[in-house]
Amino acid sequence: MSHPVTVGRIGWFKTDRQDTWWLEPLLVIVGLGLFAIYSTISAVVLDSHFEYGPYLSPFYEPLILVDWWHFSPAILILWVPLGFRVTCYYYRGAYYKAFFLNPPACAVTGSETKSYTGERRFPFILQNMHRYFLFLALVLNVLLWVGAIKSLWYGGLVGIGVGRSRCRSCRTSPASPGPSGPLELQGGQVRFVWR
Amino acid sequence: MCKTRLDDLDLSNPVVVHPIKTFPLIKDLVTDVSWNFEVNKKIKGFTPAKDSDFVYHQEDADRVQEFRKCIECFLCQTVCQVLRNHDGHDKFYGPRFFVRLAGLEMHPLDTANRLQEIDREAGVFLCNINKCCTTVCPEDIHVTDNAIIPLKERVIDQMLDPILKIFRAIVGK
Ligand code: SF4
Ligand code: SF4
Repeated sequence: MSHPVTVGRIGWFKTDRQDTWWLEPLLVIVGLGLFAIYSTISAVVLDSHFEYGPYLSPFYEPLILVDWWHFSPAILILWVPLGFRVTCYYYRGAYYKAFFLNPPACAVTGSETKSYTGERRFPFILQNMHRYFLFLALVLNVLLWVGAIKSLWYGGLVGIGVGRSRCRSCRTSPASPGPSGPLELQGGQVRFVWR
Repeated sequence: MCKTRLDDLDLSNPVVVHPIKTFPLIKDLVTDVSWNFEVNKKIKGFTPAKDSDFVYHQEDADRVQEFRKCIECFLCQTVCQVLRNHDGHDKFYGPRFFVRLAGLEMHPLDTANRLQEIDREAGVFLCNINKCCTTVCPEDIHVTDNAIIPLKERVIDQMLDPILKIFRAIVGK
């Protein structure tokens, strides 16, 4: 079989594109980067300011307080939504571009290697655990809804506090902004899914 | 890209049209895309059961009909980073052929099993789901969401998922 010559292998960020192709990966770097800093501070550093009245920081729900754990209780929970988001097909596509420059944008040269193994070798083969994180996230979702409903009760009355409008279960819901749906449930043997 | 409309362009500057990049240039805008046809030959074609009842309903055809829209323009092949940046022609079929493979695998009357080929020779896991193929497809085929991700999940189901492997060993299937 004749082997095509690849013409595009000429260094970093080479392209004929004349649009602002760099804007999207830049926004991902800034947005995801800031969120990573905010959530780390919120979950790990400020680990004694997570509860007020019926309100609980979404990073800590469901609250697990056990004697043998001497760090922030958020860590016992956050690995589930974190694993779900990190392995999510939608996010993978976005952060491979922004953080791994693979490629930085469509038709822009970035990381180039003949030994590229994608998601078939360690560590990226672990991305295929997304289905497990989905199931765990669905369980967590139920607990988050319970917490959200509980937080509507204050002093025996139903109400909603200012600043408490974010739906907690959106944190892991497969239907929340970003992913295009639980594809791992659809991709297997279910036939009619995209109608 | 062939989806670009002239009235979307700033016509005060010259409009430059390049030949596609991932395949060798023959002349002007003409490139040698014969590699794709060689890849195509490797794929096991439609294999219905001998006693197939060929009467089936539109809703059975819906899912695979999208894949039949492919006009083999190979824009998806030329923009795919595995071929374009990583020179992966010897281990990756490219998005156009995942569209074909998905059309065959999801066909309600097809009986062949191509999952091993999809994993090994076709190299579906080299795709990192950046959706460049979907972006450029002039036929608006949702290559990544509707062909590649379902193929990946099928391979994971049948060949990689350790929990399902244990489950199958226990129930004997
Ligand atoms: S989504 Fe996958 S197949 Fe499509 S262009 Fe990107 S790497 Fe290639
Ligand atoms: S870009 Fe679309 S129409 Fe063109 S070869 Fe790829 S799948 Fe087919």
